[in-house]
Amino acid sequence: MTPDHAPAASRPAAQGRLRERPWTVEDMLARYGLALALLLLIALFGAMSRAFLTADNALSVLRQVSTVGIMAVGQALVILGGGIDVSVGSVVGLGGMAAGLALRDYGSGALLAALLGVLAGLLVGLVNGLVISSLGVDPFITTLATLSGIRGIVYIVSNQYDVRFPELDAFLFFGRGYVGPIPFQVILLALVVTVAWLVETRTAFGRSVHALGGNETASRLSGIAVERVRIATYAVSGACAALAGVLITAQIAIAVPYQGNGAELDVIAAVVVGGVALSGGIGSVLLAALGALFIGVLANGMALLDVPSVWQMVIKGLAILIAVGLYNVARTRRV
Amino acid sequence: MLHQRVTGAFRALRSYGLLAALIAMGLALAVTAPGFASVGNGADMLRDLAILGIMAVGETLVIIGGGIDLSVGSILMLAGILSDNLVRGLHFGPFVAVPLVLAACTLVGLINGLLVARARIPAFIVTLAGLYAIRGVALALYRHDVTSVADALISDPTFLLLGQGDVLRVPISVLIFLLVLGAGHGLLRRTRFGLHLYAVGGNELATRLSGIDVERVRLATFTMSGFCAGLSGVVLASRLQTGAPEAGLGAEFDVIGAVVIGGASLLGGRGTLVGTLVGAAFIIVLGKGQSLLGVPANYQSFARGAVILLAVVLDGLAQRRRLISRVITRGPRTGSAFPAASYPGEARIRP
Amino acid sequence: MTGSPLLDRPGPPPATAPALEVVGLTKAFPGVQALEDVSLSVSVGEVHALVGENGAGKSTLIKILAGVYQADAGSVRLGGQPVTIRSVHEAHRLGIAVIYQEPALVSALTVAENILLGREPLARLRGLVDRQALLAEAQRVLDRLQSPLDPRAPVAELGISWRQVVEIAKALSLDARLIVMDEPTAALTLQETQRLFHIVRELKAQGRAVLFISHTLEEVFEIADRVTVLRDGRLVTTREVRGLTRADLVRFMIGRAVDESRNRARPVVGLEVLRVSRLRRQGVLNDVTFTLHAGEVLGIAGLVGSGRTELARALFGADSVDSGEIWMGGRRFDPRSPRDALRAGIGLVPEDRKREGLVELFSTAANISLANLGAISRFGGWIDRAGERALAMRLIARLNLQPPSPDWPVRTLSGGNQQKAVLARWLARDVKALLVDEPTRGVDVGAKDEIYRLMDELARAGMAILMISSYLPEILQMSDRILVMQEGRIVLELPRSEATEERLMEAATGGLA
Repeated sequence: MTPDHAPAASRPAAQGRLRERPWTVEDMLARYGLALALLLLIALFGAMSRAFLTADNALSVLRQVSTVGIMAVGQALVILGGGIDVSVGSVVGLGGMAAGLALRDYGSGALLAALLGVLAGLLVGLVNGLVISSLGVDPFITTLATLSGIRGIVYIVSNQYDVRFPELDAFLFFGRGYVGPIPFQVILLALVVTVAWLVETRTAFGRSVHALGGNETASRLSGIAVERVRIATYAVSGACAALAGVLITAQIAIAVPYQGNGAELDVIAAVVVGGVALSGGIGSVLLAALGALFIGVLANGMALLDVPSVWQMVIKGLAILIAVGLYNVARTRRV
Repeated sequence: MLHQRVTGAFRALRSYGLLAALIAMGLALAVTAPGFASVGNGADMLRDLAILGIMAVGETLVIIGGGIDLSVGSILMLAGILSDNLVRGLHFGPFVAVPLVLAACTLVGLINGLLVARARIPAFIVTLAGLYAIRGVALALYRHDVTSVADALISDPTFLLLGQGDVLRVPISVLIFLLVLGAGHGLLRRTRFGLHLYAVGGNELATRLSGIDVERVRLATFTMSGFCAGLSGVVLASRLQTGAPEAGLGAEFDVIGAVVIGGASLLGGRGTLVGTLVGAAFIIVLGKGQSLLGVPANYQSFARGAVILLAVVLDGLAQRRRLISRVITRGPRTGSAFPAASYPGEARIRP
Repeated sequence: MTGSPLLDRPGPPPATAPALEVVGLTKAFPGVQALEDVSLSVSVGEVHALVGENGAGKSTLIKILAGVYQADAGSVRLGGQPVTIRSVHEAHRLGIAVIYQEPALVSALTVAENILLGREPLARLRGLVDRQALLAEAQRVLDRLQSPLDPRAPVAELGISWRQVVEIAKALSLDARLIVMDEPTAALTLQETQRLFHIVRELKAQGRAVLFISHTLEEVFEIADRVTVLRDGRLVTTREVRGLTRADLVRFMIGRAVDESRNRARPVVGLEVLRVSRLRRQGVLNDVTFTLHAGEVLGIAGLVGSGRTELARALFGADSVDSGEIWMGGRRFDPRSPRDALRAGIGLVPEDRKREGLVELFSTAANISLANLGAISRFGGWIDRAGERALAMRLIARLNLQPPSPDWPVRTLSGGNQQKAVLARWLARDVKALLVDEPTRGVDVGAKDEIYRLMDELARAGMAILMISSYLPEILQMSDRILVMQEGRIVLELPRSEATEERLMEAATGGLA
């Protein structure tokens, strides 16, 4: 039902020149609230801990955040399209394991191993997408099942052991290298976020994802290849998760089968704090990455302040709740 | 309820299909898995089923109402740890300790419910945050200062009855489960609350417009879910004789899996406890069977994932077909809604 | 005339207090004054129509009575007693029942459970539902409506017109003193509308008051005693329907005369654009055969459920068919999905624009370009924003879309403007054939006129238009040729010159079977 308070056809231009729709406080909150909160958080921690506002610490935070951030970008795309991907935790393990095995058993080069890892994640994403799109299974259940299944596969192929591989410098660079003062992981994060942001906001594909999340039926009746778009979002999410796995493996120089356990919760938390609505269509990859940063800064600050780890968990939970509560308020009060 | 009668035919088909699959799997395992078809194993599986089932009852209520509770695993852990602390550590009698623990868990459920219903935060988020937070609190409360070997486990005989005792060869935990199941079933099918719950999950706006307090209904479901998870935790602690922190990790996925396999829709408005029972049994039998077959843990999770997926795919296909037929016949299906006499001027679609 | 409904009301003053009396109601939203100093009254046993263009304030007024909004100023009196309606629940308690355009029902439950939702009779043991009493009560209400609906039927299986009946039954069972209806007949066929009116007259006889919004002026003249016209949130006038002409009413509503009888002598229709042969789909379409030509408007009439929408969807590739052939421009056309239809140059304006037509989160421009993403992007994907905006502005101007900004979120637009946005989508693609399903449902008079004019223009320019409509005057006004469908098959085909409402209705109800 359309609200009757929309300006009537009979209201002539004489009523005043056409203005942009009225910006409300709630609009501003939804868009810039997170960035503001982040700044406040940084200021707070900076005041409370001397070690916080150092370049060293900043880079450390960024590096820790980079893997979750990359994953958050992929997840945001899926959620924007109206789905969800809880299998990412296992895909992280898969990506790292695939790269590790490629290096150890097939003697491949660093770049190839990394690509194979990402490819493995992409394939899982495709499978997710196919099952969800073609068979019409609920995304939560599908990716939940994949979460179990892929973890199982990772253990199977690794025979339940950690996988040690030849420590190629080129490969380790992915996880430990620097370009100037900046860790390579952070550069990769920036790259991924930038590309994703451009795709989301400037390309037909990005528009299709938003349309899909906004109204699937209308999208289909407008000729958008709904199935293809959806499968693509899951493929991207899988690839991002696998990439994160490769980076972690490169950093710790060993492929561990339980790598990424529980990561799906962290990623979804990041995306949600970033203001992406679980119902689809609302939010952006940029804010999702910002959400990951927020959580990372929060964790970092708490660690520096020696907050007991159990309370860290509680605070993390509270932060998620408050963020979402605020977004809700902002959105429902908007006209 | 009334609506079950008409759509019950279809759902029965689905449930029977699932039941058939369950029986088939059970038979296959009885033949191939050593020790599967033994009384001891049967009792074991029943006890496992009881614990999973109690939690699943609460989760089913939440899911029918359109929500989801991801924190049940953490509440389970909390209940176990609290029981351990009170009964073993502080030597409280079980008749004092158990109600206290249950009250605490119900309170947690209530808080979840308040956040979802009053603060309007999506259930997924609230219970996700709860999963973290409650786990944190539970771990913080965990006291395992053991003074002697004898003191390492819970030994109060009354308390141990819950998880280990029998009445006429039937495990008490199973009786508790049946009680909870029966209560839940009655709640859903015979009370106003049950009707309203289906309404809330099915069409929130319509329900609201009918003057029903949607928030109160939702609040109640989360509170009950908290209670059920707490009860499960108490029974588990009794069975294991300890409130181990590892217990309950990942339980939420088993619980949700059971509910969904059982036919409930994550969108709300659909689902039965009978279905959940079958779904839970499925998961238990599958897990136990795999263990007995010597399947390594990793393969187990792979198989579990595949099975959940299969069950849901089949359900999805069945649902799709129904959805499509609902969309194209714009009028009521002849025979089910109309009496024989045709109303003048009404077009009727012949099937 | 003072303009006050109390002083200017013709006829003797009522012996009893009016069922509803609203004085000086005012309501503003951020940026918009929805209602300003509106007063009206509805007597006991009166049927009062509320008309006005979209944006005039009718829905807002209804929502205030329903307890959804609270007025900024003004007072409401029921049966002489001043009341404040703070919530939906309170509105119910006060005896106000509101029936919305979109039936608000729970599909998981049965008809009976929906009718008595929230008021289920309890068994002796409190908390348990007395099923027998539930069914009996629901049956009682349905009997009053003379509806053959089975109270045990699951609502999930009912189409929209039947769901409305359930809604009305629900309101009846609330024993409301004031029944408010928001465009109740928008989705009903003529037959069902007549049945509704029969019920409304029943309600009158029972001494209830009925207030309803309608865009169908014929209905106002048929059923209402008095009519109130709102424009831009203000009261224009309240008149007795008797003695009022249609032209008067329209003039009050939009402040200008509308030429409704358009002399549309269109040039001879062109080549065949679409040929459909023996289209069949189990239970839905039965041997459908017809052709569509360039420059012609083919009207498809029929009752709800006769297969018209399904036909359009099948042609558009949104649904599959069991057998039959379609040719487009002389070549075999077998659409597997809407994308195929788009490529062949067909567009579809769906029946339910909110659910199937628009992405409410998007701006007007984004909705317009939704089917045209390929054309507005370069290098395989990069969107040309300036081009998109320019295209949107052009179409907005052409269709007189209000507000004329491409960036406004489409959900804030009125129904008529939203419909224009959907139409604009297909104009952006320059389609050869346009399938339009209920082009003016839920659209105000002014926009309706503009849409008719647009379709006329398009036809003259050579577009082939297939227009499905449940509104017979519209079919007669716009079509060159008319098909009538009944139970999935075409039962009548005739040129407009030979068509009358009676003939069409007779065919639609099976009179020719």
